[in-house]
Amino acid sequence: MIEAVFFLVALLAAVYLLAPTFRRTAPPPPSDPHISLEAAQASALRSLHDLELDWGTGKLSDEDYRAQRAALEAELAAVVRKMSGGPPIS
Amino acid sequence: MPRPGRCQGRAVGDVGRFALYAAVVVACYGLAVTILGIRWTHGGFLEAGRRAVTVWALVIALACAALFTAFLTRDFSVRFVAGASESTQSTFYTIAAFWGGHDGALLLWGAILALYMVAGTYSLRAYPDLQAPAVATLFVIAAFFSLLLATASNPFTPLVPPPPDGQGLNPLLRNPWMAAHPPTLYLGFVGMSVPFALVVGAMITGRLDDTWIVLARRWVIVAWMFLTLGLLFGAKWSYVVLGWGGYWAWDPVENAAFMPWLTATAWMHSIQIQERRGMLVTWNVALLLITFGLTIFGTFLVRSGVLSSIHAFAQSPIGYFFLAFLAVLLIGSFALLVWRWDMLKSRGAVESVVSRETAFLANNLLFLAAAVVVFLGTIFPALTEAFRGVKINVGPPYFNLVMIPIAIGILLLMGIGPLLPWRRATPEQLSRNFMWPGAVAVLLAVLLAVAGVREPGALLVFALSAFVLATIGLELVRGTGVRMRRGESLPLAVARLIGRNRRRYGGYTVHFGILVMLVGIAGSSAFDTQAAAWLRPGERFQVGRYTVQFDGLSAAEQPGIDITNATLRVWAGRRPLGVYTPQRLFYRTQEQPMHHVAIRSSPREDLYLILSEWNPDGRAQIRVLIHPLVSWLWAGGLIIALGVVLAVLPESWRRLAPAAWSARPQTTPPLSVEGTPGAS
Repeated sequence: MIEAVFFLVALLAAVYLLAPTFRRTAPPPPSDPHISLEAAQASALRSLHDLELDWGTGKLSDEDYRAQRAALEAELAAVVRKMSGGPPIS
Repeated sequence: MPRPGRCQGRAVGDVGRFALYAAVVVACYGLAVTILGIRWTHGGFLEAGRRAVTVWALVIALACAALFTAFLTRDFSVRFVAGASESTQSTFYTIAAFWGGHDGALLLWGAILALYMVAGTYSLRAYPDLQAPAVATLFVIAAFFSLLLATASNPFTPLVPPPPDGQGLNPLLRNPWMAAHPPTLYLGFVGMSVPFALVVGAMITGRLDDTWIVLARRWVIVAWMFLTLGLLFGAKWSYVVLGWGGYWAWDPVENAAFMPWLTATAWMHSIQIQERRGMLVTWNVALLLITFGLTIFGTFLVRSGVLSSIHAFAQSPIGYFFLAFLAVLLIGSFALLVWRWDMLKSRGAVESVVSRETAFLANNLLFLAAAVVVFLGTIFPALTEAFRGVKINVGPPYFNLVMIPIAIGILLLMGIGPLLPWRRATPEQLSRNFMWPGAVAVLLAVLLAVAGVREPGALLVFALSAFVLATIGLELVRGTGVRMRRGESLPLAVARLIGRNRRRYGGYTVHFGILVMLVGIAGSSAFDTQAAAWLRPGERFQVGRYTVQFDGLSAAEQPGIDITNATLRVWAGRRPLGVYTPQRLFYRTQEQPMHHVAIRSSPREDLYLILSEWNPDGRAQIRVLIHPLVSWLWAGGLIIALGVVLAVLPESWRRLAPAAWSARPQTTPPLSVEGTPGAS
């Protein structure tokens, strides 16, 4: 009896596992570049947010703050520009 | 007439074996179709690979269910069940016996890997190009474990004829902390599989931007938290069960779990340099590969018996399979690293020695140095045996000599790093940021010295801990001040400061937890007191501020266990603290004696009472240990877990960002700075 149950379960699992291999489907598209860009945007925003907090709490000078903020803004602007020109997020 | 359990048990054993053979087939199939799907860019094959993840998890779950059933029905026709349980064993320890030997522990490893595989595969659904090679990598690990489980370490190996009763769980393992220790530790060890698979996937696809770091970060932090808790649970078990009064002995198996903890900690800091400054790209990849390698190396140490350990009960002949697997993994993954070397160039450089990135770099060097020290000290006996034919243990003196300065360096950096800005710091900023924390540290050191604390190591740890605590407090106060200047009330400012900077304040909370632990370690190591005395009933002796009176011995019995109780009455000064009953247990089946210590725990200190031995005339030797601050160690672990939860909670950057940035502007908008004085 138990052998029959094993056989039936194995058969069902085999069908479930093998079925997709008979369908010649296109591979899923590569990761949406917007996902990476959104991650880069989030990272740059986090850096800006941290920078603001560091400056607000007196960890860096006005001069350094302005220089770092300009660099991060440029980075963020580049990311945002790429996002604007890219395909829509699905 | 066969016992019902056995009749059912044969079927249970068959189900378990079927499930494990099926696991091998499914893992190999999943690996093959995923690789073919990648190579032939065949979506159907990749889908079949993803389905294989689910099916593999199901067959492993079936094997686990079969083993639990075998234990709960006392099916001694299964060799592993007969070796780790007996009819008189409580249900709790019968369930915990699942991972009380290496075969079951390996199945637990498989079960946790199955959970992580399903979760990891699902979490990567939006990254199909990373998902496929990551799934293939996870299947390599799954196939290895399935093969071991189905062959050399099969927990369903039959025992013919079945014995009338089992041998029972090793008495050393009959403790709630030991029941929790292996699952927690494995959640940490196996949790490193997903980030390992991610970085391997990133190297295979060449997608080595910061995406994999972002994806791997949460997995590593959660695995690190479990590793921390696993280490602490193991330490607590050692403290309450082994009866020696300590919690850490630099045992090879303790070290095995500590090494990946050290490298994972280094990784969690160094990725911040990559995210913020584009530096240490190759280093971060290598560090994650080493961390995962160390989890496998740790398993080799536990299972091989190549080194003498208190975990000798976990040894089996399968250790060297792990060594071979480790070699394959490391050679393969580092070959990928070399292949992608040109894509792993840093985008930034250190601009000043006095900067946060330098502090993080120093932190990484210290953590790596600690890992190397522990590694060398751990394998030294094996090396001396290989080259000189004799095992030479370096022991705690070596580890303490080298690790204490490293720990103090790390503690110092915990305070310095967060107060340094990225890129560079000016002398004015340094004096402004470090004046108060420095003053607090010096003040505490002076106060403690005046109060009579003369132990230099402990004094240094307490002073540096005060320094770090002051830096965390300063961060909180200044950050709150920034928000309050915008008109927020104090509670709202604190809540928003923490809520909108969860990663930062989660990290500070973890640092606070580490501080609490270090204070506990320093206090309990430097100021412990112990004494022992042979006492007749009614006699008392003084240890520190405690008076202990021995009221006599009594005998008791539990199924399979003979118990000798010592009744002790305890006073702190003149204040009675109550009656305590340390025990000596004798497990009849295993013919093994065990201590059951009595502990009175308070934030100030632990009073640790041991019944060492006794004479037929009724005299008993009572050992008393006083461990100051030891409960801080366990409290620190809880705080760390809270900090990790805070740090991994999702943050909505759109909510934080000025509206213009979260939209898609064509021109660069001005930043409306949140919480910053004087910003336009």
